[in-house]
Amino acid sequence: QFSQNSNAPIDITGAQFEAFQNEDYALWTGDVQVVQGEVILTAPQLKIYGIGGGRFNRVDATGGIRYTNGLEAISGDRAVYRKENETIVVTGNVVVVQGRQVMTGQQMTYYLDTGKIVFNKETKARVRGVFFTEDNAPSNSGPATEG
Amino acid sequence: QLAPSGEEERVVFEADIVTRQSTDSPVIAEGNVKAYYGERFITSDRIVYDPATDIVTAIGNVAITEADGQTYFADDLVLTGDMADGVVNNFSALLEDDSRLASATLVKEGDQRNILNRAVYTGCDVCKEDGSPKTPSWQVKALKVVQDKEEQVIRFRNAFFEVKGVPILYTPYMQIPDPSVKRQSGLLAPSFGSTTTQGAYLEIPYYWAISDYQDFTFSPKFMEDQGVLLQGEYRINNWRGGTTMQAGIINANEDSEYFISGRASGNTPGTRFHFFGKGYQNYAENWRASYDASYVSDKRYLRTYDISRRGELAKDAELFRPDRLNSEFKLQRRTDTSLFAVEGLAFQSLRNNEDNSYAAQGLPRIRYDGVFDTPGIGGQTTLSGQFLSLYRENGLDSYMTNVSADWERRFTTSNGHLFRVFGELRGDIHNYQDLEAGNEVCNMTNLSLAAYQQCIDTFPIPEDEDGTTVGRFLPTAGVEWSYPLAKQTSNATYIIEPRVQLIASPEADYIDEILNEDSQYYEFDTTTLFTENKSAGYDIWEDGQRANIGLSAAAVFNNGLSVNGEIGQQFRSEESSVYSAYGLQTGLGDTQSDIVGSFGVSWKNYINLDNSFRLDKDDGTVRRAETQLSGAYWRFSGSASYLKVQQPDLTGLNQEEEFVNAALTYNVTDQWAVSASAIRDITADENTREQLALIYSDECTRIILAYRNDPRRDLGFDFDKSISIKVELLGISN
Amino acid sequence: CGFSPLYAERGAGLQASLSGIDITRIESQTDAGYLLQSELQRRFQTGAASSYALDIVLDEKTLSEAITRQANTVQYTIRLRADYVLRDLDGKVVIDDNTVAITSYGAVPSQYATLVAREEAIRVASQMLADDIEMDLVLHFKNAN
Repeated sequence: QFSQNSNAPIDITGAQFEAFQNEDYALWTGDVQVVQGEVILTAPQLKIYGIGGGRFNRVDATGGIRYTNGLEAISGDRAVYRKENETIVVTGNVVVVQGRQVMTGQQMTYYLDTGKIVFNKETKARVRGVFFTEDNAPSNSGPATEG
Repeated sequence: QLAPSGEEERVVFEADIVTRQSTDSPVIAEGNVKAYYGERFITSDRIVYDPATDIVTAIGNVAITEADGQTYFADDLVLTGDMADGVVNNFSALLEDDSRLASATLVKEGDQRNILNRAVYTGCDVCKEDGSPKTPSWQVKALKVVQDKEEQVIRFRNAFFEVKGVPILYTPYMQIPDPSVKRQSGLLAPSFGSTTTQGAYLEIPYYWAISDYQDFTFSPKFMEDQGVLLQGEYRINNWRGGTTMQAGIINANEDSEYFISGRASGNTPGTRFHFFGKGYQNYAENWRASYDASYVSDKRYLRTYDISRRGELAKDAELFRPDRLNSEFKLQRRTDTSLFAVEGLAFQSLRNNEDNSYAAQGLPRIRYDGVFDTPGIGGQTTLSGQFLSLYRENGLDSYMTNVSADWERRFTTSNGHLFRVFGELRGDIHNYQDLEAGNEVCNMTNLSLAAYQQCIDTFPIPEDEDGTTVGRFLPTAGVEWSYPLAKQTSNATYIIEPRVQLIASPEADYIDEILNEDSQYYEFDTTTLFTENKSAGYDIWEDGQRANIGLSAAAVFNNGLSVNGEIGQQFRSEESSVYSAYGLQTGLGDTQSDIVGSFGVSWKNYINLDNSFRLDKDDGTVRRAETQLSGAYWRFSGSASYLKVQQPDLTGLNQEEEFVNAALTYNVTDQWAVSASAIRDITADENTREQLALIYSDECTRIILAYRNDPRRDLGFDFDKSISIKVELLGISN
Repeated sequence: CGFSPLYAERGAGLQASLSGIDITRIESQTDAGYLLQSELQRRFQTGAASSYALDIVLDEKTLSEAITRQANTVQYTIRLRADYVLRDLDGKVVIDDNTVAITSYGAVPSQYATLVAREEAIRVASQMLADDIEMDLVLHFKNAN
C-alpha cells in the first residue's frame, strides 16, 4: 500500500496491461493511474514486480511520475517503490511540495511509514527549496495551508 | 527591504542535503547552505526551519550579509522566520569602511537595532597577512554596544579605549556615527596643544549634516589664557556651484594691552572676529560668479588665536600665517577666444607698519580680452581694454582706462626659420583725485611732515581742484626671429635655439605725469627676457628701441636625466629712465642690461634643480639668484630654496635680502616619519620659522606631534613656541 | 655637427599636423587656463580640420618663499603644472606628459600692485608652459614623419 496507514484497496487503471508471468512482473502503459484512498500515483508507464500471489514487492513508475496524498505532492522523472523498507525513491527533477514548503533536487527518498523525506543521499546535485514564513504574525503559528 | 508586516516572506535556500521527518516537521538543510531572504543573504553549514514555531536557526560558520552590504559572522544564529529578531553567538562584523565590530553575543531586535554584549570595535586590521591575530593600534572594548540602524549611530556603554592593547581611557558612554553612513552628525576628533600666546587649548568640532547638500561644523576653541572662541564652518553645494564659509568670534578680555612700536596703544578691542569664504556659481552661456574673501577684526587676531583658512579654503600661500589678506568678488564670462570680467578687489594688511586706510582697493576693475582672426593681412588681432578705479579711504583715488589692439602673425620658412611680426596700438587715460592725500608709501602715518612733503612733490601736479587727467598714446612694432635646431642620437635629444627680438617704440617720459600704482614690481630674468613690454601693469611702459637676444640649449636623455640652460641680454639704442626713475632695481634701462641666465637639472624624481640668476653687466656680481631644489631618495624626501634679491624697502635704501628655506622628511619605518622645516633670513642671520614634526600613520590611525617655533617678533608678541597634537582615528573621526 | 633645423619642412607634414590640433577648454582657478589656451590656439592656429585633440589639466600652487623677521612674506613662488594628453581622432593616446613652470613675484608696498605682479607671474608661467608643450609636440611630429 502506498499511504502510511491505510490498507484501502488499490485500483490501477491504464491504457494497456500486459502480464509476464515467467518474469514475474506486469506492465501498464499509457496514463497509468494508481489510486489507494486519497493517494494517487500517475505515470506514463508502471511496472509491478512479484505479481505472483497478488502481493507485489516493487513498483517502477517511469516517464514522469506524480504522487499526491492530499498533504503533499511529489513529482519526478522516475519513482521506485520497495515494499521491504516501505520507501519510494524518486529520481530526476524531483519536486516536493508540502503545504507552503517546496523543495527540488535530483534524488529523494520518501519513507511511507513516517512521511520522512531525505533529499540527495547519493547524488552530488544541490537541493533547492523555498519555505514561506509568517512575518511573526502572532495569530497562527502553524503553516498556512490555503492555496 | 522587509515586506510590510502580515505579508509572508519567501525564503529560497540551497543545500547539499535536505531532510524532513514529516510534512510539518522542521526542514533541515545541510551542506554549504545558502539562503536568500528579500535582499538578505545567509550562508552556514546547516539551516533548520521549523514551520510550527516559524523559527529559522543557522548553525556553523554563519555569515549574514545585510541589504546595505554589511556582513556579520557568527557561530550560530537563531532568527524568526523573517530573520528579523534573533540571537547570535560569537558575532563579528566587517562594516562598510572596513572597521570591525565583534561581540560575544548579539541580539537582533527587529531590523533596526543590534545589541552586542562584551563587544570590541576598531578601525584597524585584526590579523596579519598570514592570518595570525594582531593587536590593533587602537580598539574600543565595551560591555554593551547598541548599533542603532534607525538613528545610524553606534553607542558604547562602559567603554575602554585601548592603544596597542593597553587601556588608557574609560568612558561610561560614547557614540560614533555608523560607518555605513556617508554624512552623519556627531563629534569629530578633538585637537589640543599649547602655545605661549594661548596657553593650553582644546578644540572640539561637532559636525551637523543639515541635509544631503549642506552641513555645518561648530568647533569652539577653549584656550587657557584667551577664553573661548566660537567658530564654525558652513558648506552648501548645488549642481552648478557651491560655497564654503568659516567664521569665528570671541569676546576678548579687555585688560590685555597691546603695543605698537613700543607705545602702548590701547586695549585689545572687545569683540574680535574673522570671516573666510569662497564660492562660485555657474550660469548659462559661460557666465560664472565667484568670490574668495578674508577679513579680520584686527591685525593681531589670527596670530593670537592661531586661526587660519582650513580645509577647502586652505591656500598653499598661507603655509605660514598670512600678513596680508586679499579678497576678490568676480563676475566673469569666458569663451575659447575671449574673457570678460567685472571684479571687486579688496585688501587688508595685517602688517604693523601699513595703514589700511591708505591701501588702494580695486572697486571695480572691469577688463576684456578677445582674440580675432584678421581678414586680409592674416594673423591674430587681440582687442583688450580695462577700466580700473582705485579707491583709498584716506588717500588719493585714481581712475585708469586703457584700450589696446595687438596684431601678430607667424611665418615658418621651409628651412626652419621662425618669424613673428607684431604691433600694438594702445591708449591710456589716467585721472587722479585729491592727490595731496597721499598713498600707501607717502602718507602722514608713515612719514614725518618733511618727508611727507618731499614725497608728495614727486606726485603729478594737480591741475585743478577736481584732480589731474593725463592721456597717452603708445604705439609699438616689432619682429622676432628664432631658429631651433635639434639633434637626435640613440640615447638623447639635443636642442639649441637662438632667438632675437627687435622692438621699436617712441622715446617717452611720463614719469612726472603718471603715478606708478600697478607696476611697482618687475623681475628681469630669462622668463621675462622676451616679454615685449617689460612691466607688470599699465603704469610703466617700456619705451625706446631695443633688442632682446637669447640662446637656450637643452639635452634630454632616455635614462630620465635632462639638463637645460639659457642666457640672454637686452640692448637699447638709448638709455631709458623709466625703471630707475621709479626706483626699480630691475637691471633694465641702460644701453646694455644686466645678463640673465638659468640652468636646470632633473633626474626622474630623485632630484630636481632649477636656478635663475642675474649678473651685473659691469662687474658680474650676482644681483639676483633664485634656486629651487627638490628630491627624494630611499627614505628621504625634501626640498630647499635659496633666494637672493634686491628688495627696495620703503625708504628706497638698496637692501639686500637673502633667504634659505629647507624642509626634510625621513621615513624611519612605514609608520613613523620625522619631518623638519625652517626658513632662515640670512641678512638678519636668524631663523624666521622652525618646525619639527613626528608623524605616526597606519591604516587606521594618524597622529601628528608638531613643535613649531615662530621667532617672529611682532609687536605685542614675544616668541611664539607651540606644541600641538592632532589625533585622527579612521572609523571614528575621519 | 648633426644638428638640423627643427621646423625645416621636407613635406608639408609638420605644419599641417601642428595646425590640426583641437584644444579642449582648460579649467583653472586663476586666468592661467584662459592664457595657456589662447596662447596654444595662437601657435597652432586651429583653423584647419582638427585631427588631434589636446587635453590639459592645470595645477596651480602659490608658495610663500621668503619671510622676514617681522613676519612679512616678501617673495612668493608660482608653480604651474600642466598634465597634457594628445590623442588622435580615434582616441589613441599619442603623447601623455607633464611640465612645470616656476615664476616668482615680490610683495611691494601697494597690495594692488602685488596682485598685478602675481597676475604677470601667472601670465609668464602660462607662456612657459605653452613653449614646453609646443616643443614636445613638434619633436614628436618631427620623429613621426
